[in-house]
Order: sequence, then structure tokens, then C-alpha cells
Amino acid sequence: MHWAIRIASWLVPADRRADWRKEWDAELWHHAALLRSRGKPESAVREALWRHARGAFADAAGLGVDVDLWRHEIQSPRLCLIAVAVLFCSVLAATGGFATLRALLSPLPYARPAELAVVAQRAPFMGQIIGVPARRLRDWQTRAAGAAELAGYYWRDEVQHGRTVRVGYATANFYSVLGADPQRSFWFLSRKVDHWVLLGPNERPAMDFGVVARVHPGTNLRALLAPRENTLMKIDVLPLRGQIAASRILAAVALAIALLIVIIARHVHMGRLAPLDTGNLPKAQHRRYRLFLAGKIVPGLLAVAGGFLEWSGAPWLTTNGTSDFSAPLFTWMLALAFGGVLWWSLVDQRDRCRWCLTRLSLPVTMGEWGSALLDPVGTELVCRYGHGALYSGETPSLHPEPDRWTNLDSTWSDLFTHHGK
Amino acid sequence: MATESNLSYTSALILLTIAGGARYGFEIMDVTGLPSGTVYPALRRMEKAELIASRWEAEERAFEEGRPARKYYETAEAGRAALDKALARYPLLRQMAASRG
Repeated sequence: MHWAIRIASWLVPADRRADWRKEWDAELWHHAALLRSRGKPESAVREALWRHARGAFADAAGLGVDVDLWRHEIQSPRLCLIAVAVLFCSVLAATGGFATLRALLSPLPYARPAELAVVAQRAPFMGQIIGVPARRLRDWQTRAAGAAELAGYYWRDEVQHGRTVRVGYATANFYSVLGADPQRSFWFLSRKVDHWVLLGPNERPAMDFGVVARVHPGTNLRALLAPRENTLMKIDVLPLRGQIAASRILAAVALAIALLIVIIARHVHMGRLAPLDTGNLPKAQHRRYRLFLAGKIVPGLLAVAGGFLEWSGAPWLTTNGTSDFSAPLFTWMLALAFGGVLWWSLVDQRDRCRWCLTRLSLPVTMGEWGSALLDPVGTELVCRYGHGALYSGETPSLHPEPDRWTNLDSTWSDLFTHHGK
Repeated sequence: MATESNLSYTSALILLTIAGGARYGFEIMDVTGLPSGTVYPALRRMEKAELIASRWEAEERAFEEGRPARKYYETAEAGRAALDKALARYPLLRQMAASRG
């Protein structure tokens, strides 16, 4: 194993290398001698020596860096906020500044958007949205003539010049129905569409259509398009603005589900998630502690919402059944992601000093496992700068109690070394 | 003025072991059951903080016994004070220290 020591020694500063190697070589020699004196087989000796020698890398790496400084940085609130900021900025840059999220929150970029609707054809029983064949779209256009104009669209991924692009295809009247200027960059249901191609009258579409309609005021388009044949297929005419509003509501529902999950989880796992017990903290510190929590939750939720909407192409809005995800699945996935952000933020917050926001450390088990009523077991964490201690019960089902934060006064200072700072 | 806690539980255990008579790295590993990747870096940190001091044993003596020389560690005065404080914080270590007398 001396070869491992030799390799690890490259990490050791040159002026200490010889001494360091001499100690490690001697340590391995003594380990091997002890094992052999105990009659261990040679294979067991080799294995134990290898385990021993592996520690040389951690030892050598620790000599080249200031471990205390690193520990201080890792536990500091600064690193946490930087990590959240980096995540937020990365998602912001990757999504073109949360383009889909902004589009959902902005007015629609079409003429008279109140007249626009998406027409969805739903299958019987399960109610999933299915695409509309070109023949049916032509039939609908004929039946709605004079009362509404209907356009079909779909998109798919294609490889062009060795690059995968998402190409949108639409019927020739697509732009006039939308009231959008094709020369301008515009957004229609999915920002992921790289460019649109209008199909000629004799071109056969590769897929079934989603349908968008401009409905003249006072028209009951649903009645006009109602199936004539004996079928269980349902037709939904959904105002586009209503769809956008519904997507906002679904985002709120996802957030509400996430909150519910966190609250339920808190009750199931009682005591582990009572992060905001701040004892008798002064108002200013209390506000700082809460602001730090908000500084994690708000960018985290925005990054998740913006990233998910961009990545999935806002499946709440697609109506031709070609979305990668169904809307309910997407809502649940978003809820779980929101829940993850909330859970992490609260758990991280719980384990931070209420004064300096540094991660608490030096855990100690208090109490007796065999004495659940008189001296229940709990874990105590302290701030390494001596500001306070957090007690957390470990037997919540027997002795439910929330976490307790205690500000430490000067009588505790003996436990901590002082250094000017 | 900020204050910083001195010893983690593991460091306190190693310090207690040295105070109890274990003198070199492998011996400390053997007594505590801690892996080498924990023991040696902790020894370096405590030596840097002047809680322990190290010295090489005389080469002649090691040569007479047919083995390489060992690097011995012993608790410094600051280390004994830090150990007293750590024992106040860690009840299990306090029990271990008491059982050793």
C-alpha cells in the first residue's frame, strides 16, 4: 500500500512531505505487524491496510487547505444564498428570462383575444384530449362558417442540419385566426416551437390537429360543432384567456398541494419541522431570520415554476394531445417540486442559528431511550459561535414536543473559545 | 467578539483517547474504532490548534525493537482544558472518562 501513500503525498505541501510519508509508512507497518501477530490471513491484512491507506488521501488533502475556513464557509448563510442565487440565475438564463411564465402572466399578444378559444375533443370515459383529424377540421370549418373561423395546428420535433428543432405546422388561416403578425416573434401555447410552417390546401398533415378558433360574439360554437353521429366523444370550447387563467389557478393549486404535503409531513414527522421557534429573539433578529427563509423560498419556487413550464411546454394549454405530459400529471409533478423547495427551505432553516444564521453543529444526544416520560431522548445542536442551542425531541410519538431554541447567555461561554472577529 | 466552539464529538473522543494513554495514530484508530480518514486529519487540526503536541521517538530505540520509529502524540495544557470543557458538553464521553477513573 506504500504506492497509495506515495501518490497521496503529492497533495502534501513540499516542506512537510518527507515527515508525513515517514509517519504514514510507519503507521501501515505497525498495522500490518499487529494483524499478522493476531494470525490474520494475508488477504485480510491487505484489505485492512488498503482501508487504512485510503485515509491518507483525506489527511493529505486536509494539509493543503484550511479545513476550519472551509467548514466556516460551508456552514455560513452566505453560501446557502449564493447557491440559491446561482440556481435561480441559471434557470433564468436557460429559460430566456422565464419566457413561458411571463407569457402566462402577460396579456395575450393577439388582436381581440377575448374572441379566441381552443377547441378540444375529449375521448369518452377517461376524458383525455385527442387530436382532430384534418377531415373533421374541414367539416367543423364548414359548419362554423360565418360564426367562427377555425385553424388547426400541431408541432413535432425534427432533425434539421443535425440539430433537433421543434417545428409547428398550422393550416393556412392560422395567423389570421390568431390576429398575430407572423413577421414578429410571437408566442402560441408553447415557446418551444422554433418556427411555424403553414400547410397548403392539398398538404396532408403528419398528425392530428389541435384547434384554435376565433368565435364571433354571441356564437355558441359548441352547439355548432356538436357531433351529429351517435358518438360519446365530447367537444369543449375553452376561451383562450380562460385557459391562461386556469393555468394560473392550477399553479396555485400545485402550490397549495405542496403546502398541504409539507403540513401533513410535519404532523407525521412532528418536531422535526418546527423551524421557526425563535425563543425570545429581538425583533430585528427575528425579521432577519424570516427574511433569510423568504430568500430561499421565493427564488426557489420561481426557479421551479419557470423551469418546469419551460421544460414541459406548458401542457395545461396544449389541446391536440401531443404534450409530453398530461395536465394532471404535470400539476402533480409541479406540486412535488414545490413541496421539495418548501421542505428543504424549512429543514435548512430549522438547523440554523437564529442569530447568525450559521448551520448548527456538534449534535449531542440528551436523555435516556429507556425513559420516555421522565427524560425523553432528544438531540441538541449548538451554534459554533455560542449564540444558542436547538433541542429536538427524538420520540415524537410518545412525547410530542416541538423543537426548542434557547439563546445562550454568557454563563455558557466557557464551552466556546473566543477569538476577535 | 465572536465565539467559536472548540471540539467536535469525534475530536473530543480522540483527545480523550490520547489523554487515556494511546500515543500514535494507529493505536488511536484501534482504541476508538474510527477510520484513518477521520483520525489523522483530526490529529493535524488539534496539533495546529496546540491542543496536542507530537514528537518522533528515538530512532535507536525503534531500531533495537526492529520496527520503524513512531510519531507520538500527547495532550498539551490547552488540550486538557479543552477536554474538560468538551466533557461538560458530551455526556457519553463524560461517562467513558468516569469509567476509566
